[in-house]
Amino acid sequence: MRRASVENMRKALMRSNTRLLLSAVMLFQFSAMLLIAFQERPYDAQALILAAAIPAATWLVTMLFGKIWPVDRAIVILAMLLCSVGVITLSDIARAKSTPMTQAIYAAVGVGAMAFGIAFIRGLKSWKRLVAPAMVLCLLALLSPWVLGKWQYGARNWIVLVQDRLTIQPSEFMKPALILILAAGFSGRPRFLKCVPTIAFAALCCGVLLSQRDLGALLLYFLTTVLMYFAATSNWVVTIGGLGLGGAAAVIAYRAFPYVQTRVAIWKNPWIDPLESGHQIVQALIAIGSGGLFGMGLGLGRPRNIPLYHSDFIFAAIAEEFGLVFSICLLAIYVLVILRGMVVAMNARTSFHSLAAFGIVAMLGLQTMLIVGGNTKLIPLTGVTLPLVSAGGSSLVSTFLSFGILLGISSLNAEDEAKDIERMELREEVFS
Amino acid sequence: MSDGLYEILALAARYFFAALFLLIVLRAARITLRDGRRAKKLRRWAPETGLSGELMVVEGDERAKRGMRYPVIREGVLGSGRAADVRIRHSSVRNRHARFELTEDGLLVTALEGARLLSSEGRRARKLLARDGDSFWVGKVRLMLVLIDAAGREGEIAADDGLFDAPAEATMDSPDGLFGDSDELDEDFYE
Amino acid sequence: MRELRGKIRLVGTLIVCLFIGLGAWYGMTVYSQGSVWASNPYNQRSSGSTAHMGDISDRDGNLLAHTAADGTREYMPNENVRRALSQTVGDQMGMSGTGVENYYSSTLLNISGSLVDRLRSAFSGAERVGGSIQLTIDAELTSYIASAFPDGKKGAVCVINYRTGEVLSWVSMPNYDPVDLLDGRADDNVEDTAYLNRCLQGLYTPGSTFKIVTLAAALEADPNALNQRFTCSGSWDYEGGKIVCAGGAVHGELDLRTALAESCNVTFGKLAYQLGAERLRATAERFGLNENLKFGDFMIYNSAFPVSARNVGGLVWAGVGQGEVLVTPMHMAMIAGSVANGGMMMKPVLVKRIENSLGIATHTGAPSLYRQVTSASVADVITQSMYQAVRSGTASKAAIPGYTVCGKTGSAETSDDKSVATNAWFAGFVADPEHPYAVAVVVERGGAGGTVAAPIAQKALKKAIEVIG
Repeated sequence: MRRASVENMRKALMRSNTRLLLSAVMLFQFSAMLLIAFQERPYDAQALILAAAIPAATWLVTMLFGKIWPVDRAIVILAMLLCSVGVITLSDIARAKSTPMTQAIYAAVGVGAMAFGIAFIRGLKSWKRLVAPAMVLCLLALLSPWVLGKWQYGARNWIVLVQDRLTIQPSEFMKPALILILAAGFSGRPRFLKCVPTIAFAALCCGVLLSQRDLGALLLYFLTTVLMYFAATSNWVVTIGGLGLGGAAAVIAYRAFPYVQTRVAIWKNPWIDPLESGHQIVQALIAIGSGGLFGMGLGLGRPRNIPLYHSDFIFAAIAEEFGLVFSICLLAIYVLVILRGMVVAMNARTSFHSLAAFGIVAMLGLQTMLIVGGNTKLIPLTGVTLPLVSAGGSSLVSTFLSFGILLGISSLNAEDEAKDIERMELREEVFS
Repeated sequence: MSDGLYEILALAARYFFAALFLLIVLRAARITLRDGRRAKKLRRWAPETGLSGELMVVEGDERAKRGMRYPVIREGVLGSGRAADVRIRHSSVRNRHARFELTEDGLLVTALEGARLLSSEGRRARKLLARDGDSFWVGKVRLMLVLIDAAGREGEIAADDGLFDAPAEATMDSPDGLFGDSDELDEDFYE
Repeated sequence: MRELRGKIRLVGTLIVCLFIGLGAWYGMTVYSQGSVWASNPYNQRSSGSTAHMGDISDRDGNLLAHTAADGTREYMPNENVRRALSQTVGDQMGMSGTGVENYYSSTLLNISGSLVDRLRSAFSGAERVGGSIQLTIDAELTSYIASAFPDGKKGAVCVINYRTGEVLSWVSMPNYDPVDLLDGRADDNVEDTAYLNRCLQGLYTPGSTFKIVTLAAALEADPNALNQRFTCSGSWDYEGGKIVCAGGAVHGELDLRTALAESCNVTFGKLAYQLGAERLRATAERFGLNENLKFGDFMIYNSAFPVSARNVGGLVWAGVGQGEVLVTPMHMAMIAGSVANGGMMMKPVLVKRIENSLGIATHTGAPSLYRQVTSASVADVITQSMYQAVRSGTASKAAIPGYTVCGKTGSAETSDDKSVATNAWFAGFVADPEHPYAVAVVVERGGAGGTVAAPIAQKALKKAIEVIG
């Protein structure tokens, strides 16, 4: 196989210099962790270690991944930034020292998963053939909590691997798998009838999630499926019909399930019951309000007043300590990741890769919007987590895996662009 | 560190973190915009990305005259509409006439909803696999496929000392080949 | 592929736009509502700051709370006075969420104070002091009312100035001693619910005091209603039930004014029935029920008027303030005040003045209109009726010689068990622009409003005239 010439590679990738970005990110990570290290007297050893380790890891991962594969470095840097915001916030507010350390370890595992994702998508050739076995595996994994699982926070979607230490949430890992299956099923703009098995599979997954009371994941799966179907087939009728069905199902769920009704009632006016049912959202709003424009300062707020401050409401905790400006910038980072991901999707060569990249980014965006909306009382709480930032091993690793797939697709794009450039040149030479 | 001193530091740090994060966001946004502009430039210069070959008109009339060439990408739609990836403007060709997809064995062409697709022998087909040099009918237009990374057609290719591979190695997707020797490439070049 | 790209671009743009919308909405909401959220009584972010808490004083400048040089918090020396003011002033542990020490902790501690301020104090070695707050409350009046409140009973008294909206006194029984909380431990001897400020947080069935609103609705619907004569035979049947006058009274023929003065349930039940749920609710909502009563200085729990046209019995009894109608004493005082003030309900003001640590005033409370809840002429008629109630009706025990006192009593039933005493209510005012005071009294399980609540109100108004002028 012919090697790409250096010249063409350069022209193809033609990506901006990310050095300044990387330095700024590393500086932020270092200074934040350093400040946290001095919260304790005389200093917090674990935080100091992290202060050195996090920027080093970010640099290493960016350089390494960029060297091995021609991935989009900006996405790598932004992903590492988001993950480190999570570790930093947890170091600051978590009660137990082990929480940020666990998160950092999961992040390391996540980086490995990211590498796996890149290699996987690059090596995947015959996706159409793998769809059926993949579906079966997925459903089995989703159903596994029924067999091995336990109830937690009112939902039964966890598997305990090591008692009290290691639990995983299969519905999180099924997210990238679902996207790949949907991408393979919808690739090549099939007619509606051809799509039915894929849609049926997605519906089945949603059903399993419904029985496990995992409403947030259910909503995400449903919306992502609809969006991917629409992008793949441009079939307005079915899409709108699907959305309508979803809306009707939501109304039925509201009428039928009391816990849905309480959620909506709390969302409408949490202030009337600030100690019981409205407690979560009231404390979250108080925290966000206390933060003001620039925050209360690292370590000066009281984010532990917010229930679930480390997972569902971590955005409110960040807004409290870091302020409005910072949290809006955090949202902007997500937007930038989505933008770059969309570009990757549009530059992909096959519809499978294009849809896969699109699905990953769409799901990321939807998830972020759901959780930030829930934190700020725009929409009722849905129990999804802020991707890469919230504490939670399964969510973190699976999001990294999705990012890996996205990066892998971006690397394929880069290589193809280089090949294109050569061929253009050759074509001119040959046919001119 | 005393509590008071920490408080002062943390309060000052608020502005620092906000400014730094803002800088990060702006920088990332600028990078994205610049990449977008460069990609647009690249696309103008090399509009047919994912180029894998060409379809040449062997027999046709109206606006699809003989000798006209259409670049072929890896996957797309063949038709006369504006959204088609290979746009053949001929009255016998529908808006969305057929789908094509490049596989290991060649170009897989699938007719959409009863469109007229004939093999090189003239037999009506719903799906056909075209290899390099094969021709087929789309509507009333006859097209011949020329693949870049495919089996040799003597003459034109022979002149290019081994630039095009022999069929046995005509695999589209072995990307490690491209970067197996990446250490020879200077990292700075694709920063 | 081109179509796919196009769709991706479309959906991608949609998602990005939604995100930008989300960000903009979030930014705007926090910018406008953030400080309101932060001043929620359940915000416990006060403790842990290194500044000294500023002073809280009453309208005459008496220090209600002060931080000594060594950092200890001091309250008024007299225990009874301390206890009377406990829920208003608050405490160091934030047990009384609506107390000023908690609600205004960020001001008192100067939490969002500038970096420069902190640096200055760090270098000068002096302790940082937060801002000081002067309340509109009158300490002498408050402690007097608290001592006049019947022993062993629970309830609340609110006194306001209905022309400016200033809160002159809040008394909530049972109360506690904030000094007991200074050592950081909650006192086990404190009575249950002592930390609650019943004026703001106590939702009670208003009973006959709600007839003020029903009368307003009737007069608005038909100004000619004054000329109507009603007949009360002691009871009245409606579809599905019967309404009776309290104590088996039979009032015979009367006009609206007398009906209010004598507190005739039958007449008001009929009025409610004739008005219908929609009109009665509309008036109630204009008076502020079913509304988020969130003011700049504090928040009152929402009064509720959950009456629908389907439930006839509920409607009829709501007309006399029974059923599921709920009102806070503070809101009732505001309602009485609005009647006195020509139908204008003023925004309640608790904070007279806020000064920062340098003595510069950063906020001065000023009167502002909340809403015109009813027309001046309707208010006038209601005032006359309430005057008749005091002169010759159920509220006679509230009369003060030499002053025009108007009021409405109430004896609210809270349970179907007839052995449980009713809540005694009184809502009224002094109809004198020189002494614009309105009062609301509720005594839980107190008995009849006229015998229990009216005397307390009389004492409160008399003392207010004496002390404040």
